[in-house]
Amino acid sequence: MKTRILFILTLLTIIDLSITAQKVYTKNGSISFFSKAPLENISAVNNQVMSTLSLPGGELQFSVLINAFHFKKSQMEEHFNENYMESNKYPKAIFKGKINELSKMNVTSDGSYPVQVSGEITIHGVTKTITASGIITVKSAVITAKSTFPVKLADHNISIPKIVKSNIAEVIDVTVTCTYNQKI
Amino acid sequence: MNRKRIKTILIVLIFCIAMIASVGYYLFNKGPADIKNNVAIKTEASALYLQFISDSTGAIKNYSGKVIEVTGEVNSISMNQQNEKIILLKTNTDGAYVNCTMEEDPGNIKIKDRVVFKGICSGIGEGDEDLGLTGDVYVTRCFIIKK
Repeated sequence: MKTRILFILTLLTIIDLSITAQKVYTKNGSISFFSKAPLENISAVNNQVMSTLSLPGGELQFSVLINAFHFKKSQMEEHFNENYMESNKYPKAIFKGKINELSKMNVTSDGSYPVQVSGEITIHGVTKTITASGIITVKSAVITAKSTFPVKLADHNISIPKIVKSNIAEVIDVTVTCTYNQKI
Repeated sequence: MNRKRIKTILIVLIFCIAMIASVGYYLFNKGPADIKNNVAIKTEASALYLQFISDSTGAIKNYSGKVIEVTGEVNSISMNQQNEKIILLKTNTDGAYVNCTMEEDPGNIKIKDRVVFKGICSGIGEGDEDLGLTGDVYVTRCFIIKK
């Protein structure tokens, strides 16, 4: 009996260690943004986000190809890439940071954990420090991270011509959702 | 200028304005590009990946944002968070793939099948050297052309 209990405890410890000390990633995370303006609302989605998460430290990184954002209207997509984001010149947006105090959480058990993420975000070639709230969800040992945060276009030197000012918001809401289903 | 002439000029002017407004309205509301009927640049998965890592500037110029037809061997099939099929095509580099997001269900495709997909090339993703991860070449809005 003692041997069996010892075996189970050892097994649980191994499983626990394998979950708490690992590097997980996805190459197909999702990022979307929403711009609410008087004349129209604009949204776009990109399902090709590369993101890595190291446990237990919580180091988080994601990178996204700008021209993989897709819009409902082709004209919007064209203006977004050519006029505003200059995706040929600045093809990627990158975030490098950390999920604060993730090591204090028990990510081995299923549940949702509110977190703070801070780091540096580079959009349109301009890097800014950012802190955002997010939710870490653990389900059957698979971690999903979700966060919505505002991005002020002027902070990243993205200028909107006066003629379309009422079509595009000065601050847009960005939502990132990544399910880390791959392990290193 | 007589009245008849002014009337004709006004009619022509109104017609031109209406035409310009209609074209503008059409272009503004035009949906996403028609991938299926677009002319595509033909390439192989390995060659495409190689071009992105050996000459990234040239590859961005030649492929990024363009409709391509890529041929390759299926390495894996999965779903993303939006329930779209993600099919990875093998390249000559371990861990690096041509990462295709399907717009339409490609039907009965199996691992090791040789397929031809048509879609928009987004470019190469950022790898992570510290973690030994290579970036994939991404193709979105894919349709199957041949199996």
